[in-house]
Amino acid sequence: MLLLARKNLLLHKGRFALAVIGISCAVVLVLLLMSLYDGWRENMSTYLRHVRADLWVGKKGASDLFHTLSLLPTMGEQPLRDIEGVAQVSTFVGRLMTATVHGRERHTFLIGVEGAGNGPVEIVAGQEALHDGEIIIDDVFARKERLQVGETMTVAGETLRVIGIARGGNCFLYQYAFVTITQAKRLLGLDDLVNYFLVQVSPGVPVSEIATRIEQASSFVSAFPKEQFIANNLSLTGDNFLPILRVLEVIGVIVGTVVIGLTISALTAEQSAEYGVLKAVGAPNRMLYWTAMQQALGCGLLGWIIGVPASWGVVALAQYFVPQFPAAMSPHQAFWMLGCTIGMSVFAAIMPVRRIARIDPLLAFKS
Amino acid sequence: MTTATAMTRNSEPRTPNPEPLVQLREVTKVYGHGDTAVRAVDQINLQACPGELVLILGPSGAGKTTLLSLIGGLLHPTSGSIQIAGTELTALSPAALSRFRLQQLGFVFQFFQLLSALTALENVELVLRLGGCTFSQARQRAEELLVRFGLGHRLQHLPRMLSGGEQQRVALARALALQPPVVIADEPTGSLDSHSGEQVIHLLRQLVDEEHRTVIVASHDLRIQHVASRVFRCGDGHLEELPMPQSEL
Repeated sequence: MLLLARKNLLLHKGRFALAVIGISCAVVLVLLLMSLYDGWRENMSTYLRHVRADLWVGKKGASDLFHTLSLLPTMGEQPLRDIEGVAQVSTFVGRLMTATVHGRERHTFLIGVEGAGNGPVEIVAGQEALHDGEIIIDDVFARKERLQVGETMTVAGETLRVIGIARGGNCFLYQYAFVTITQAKRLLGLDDLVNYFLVQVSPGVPVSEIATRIEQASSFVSAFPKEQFIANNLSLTGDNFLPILRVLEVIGVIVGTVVIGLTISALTAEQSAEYGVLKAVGAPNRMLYWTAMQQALGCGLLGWIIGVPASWGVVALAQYFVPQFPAAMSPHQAFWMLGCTIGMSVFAAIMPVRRIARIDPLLAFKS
Repeated sequence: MTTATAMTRNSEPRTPNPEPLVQLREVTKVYGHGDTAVRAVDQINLQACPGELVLILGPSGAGKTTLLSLIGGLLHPTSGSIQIAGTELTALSPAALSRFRLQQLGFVFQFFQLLSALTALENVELVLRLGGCTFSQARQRAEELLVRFGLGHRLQHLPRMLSGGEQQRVALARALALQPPVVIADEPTGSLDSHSGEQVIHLLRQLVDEEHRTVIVASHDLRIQHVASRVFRCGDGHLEELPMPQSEL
């Protein structure tokens, strides 16, 4: 019956090609959205994972870098150092700022670097050693704004020379940029204040235990283990934007299912008489159902085969034209989509199968 | 190929077979209910033995196709019994009936009803594959049948590339692929020109004479009367056996 399924599909090559293109587009759409979803989550957390901190200590009520504002006095550092089990404490200063680049106003999340603990993830051009009056920008920001090492940009009235370009600081809406801690405090107006303290605990000491000790020592602070703090930051997108991507993915799957369903339904309707003949000569119903299923799977899998490489091309193009596009493609997504395509095909075949079930073999006696 | 006009019913005396292969008893088929009910087939009795070609004549709407559909297990009778090769069709489940049709019955339709996407060879192969043959067995048997029916040069042609006569011969090959004991033909010459029609009539007669199959034909075509073993006239749901012309005896 595979032969019949294949030949029936190829009987109307134009329609078959259109159906496969339609399914491929649905596959591309879904994979694009999946890669956007994964890329977003990955990009949002790359820098935070890189920061050397077992605990992020901020003002009570503040829980992330974007939603809430944490301001703590610099003098709070010493009491933290005094807590048993704390190995090291450093400060984190950072905030979204408006910068002027090539005469245009742009946004960047400015971070003050203290030591090597909260610097950029990876330098891809220029150098890492920062001095006042210098800035390291993200690779995506550099491409988007056509900025190169040696050029300048202005933040809060101060001109900063780009000395390095880093990777791993793209959060889609904005990118991280790094200056010295003193410069950052000046630019952000945080002379005796910091946003967070970054705490590293002594080896072998449970992080949760230190977090409890810190919160017991001061009722004005909250201490978040690293993973918790990353999760808090991801929830900004996880709670608000990413579900929209999931909805669009579902719409893509529905479109693909409808394209397969319409194609196979039209084919089944046209060939009702032939199905009637097959029933009359004794073909069992399950074989006829399997033929429709094979046709649906044929359309779906071909759409997947074309759609997967096409989605790689579309993502590459999107990232070329929109550098901040945070897509992350993986074989896992392609295999997930394969399962989804099989599911779409099976579901799409239900209507044609029901139609075949109703076909009267007596049709064979009619013209 | 011999023409039908030159053919006569096999005059060799055949050993009478006491066991009819096809047996209809008091078969009635009513369409609709109440005042609108139509008795398409009304208490019909019919028997056909192996090696018989039974012709059912009658005008359109006389119930010929309904009768063939009942014999073919495609319609369930309102009442009565239909036995083919000792199996009571009315007692079979739809799935069992489907298996029975595949193994025991061959169908030839007026409009050929070949699958348009498949070649002549594939149309015949498909039934063999349904019957459980391996791919190579199916190919070999299909080729043999089509060559036998003079279509060796048309194996890879799609139905639309074949003439009506050639299509009907492919349909005949498909009907015989699994060597069913009973062949049911509905107006097998109805869509053919005179010459092609005679070729098909000749092939049907061959099935009876050489392979001892039971062939039941519904047709308007009086030429078939010359090769039929028995002739019935169908009208108003009834079946009446006609006396064979003296020349045919």
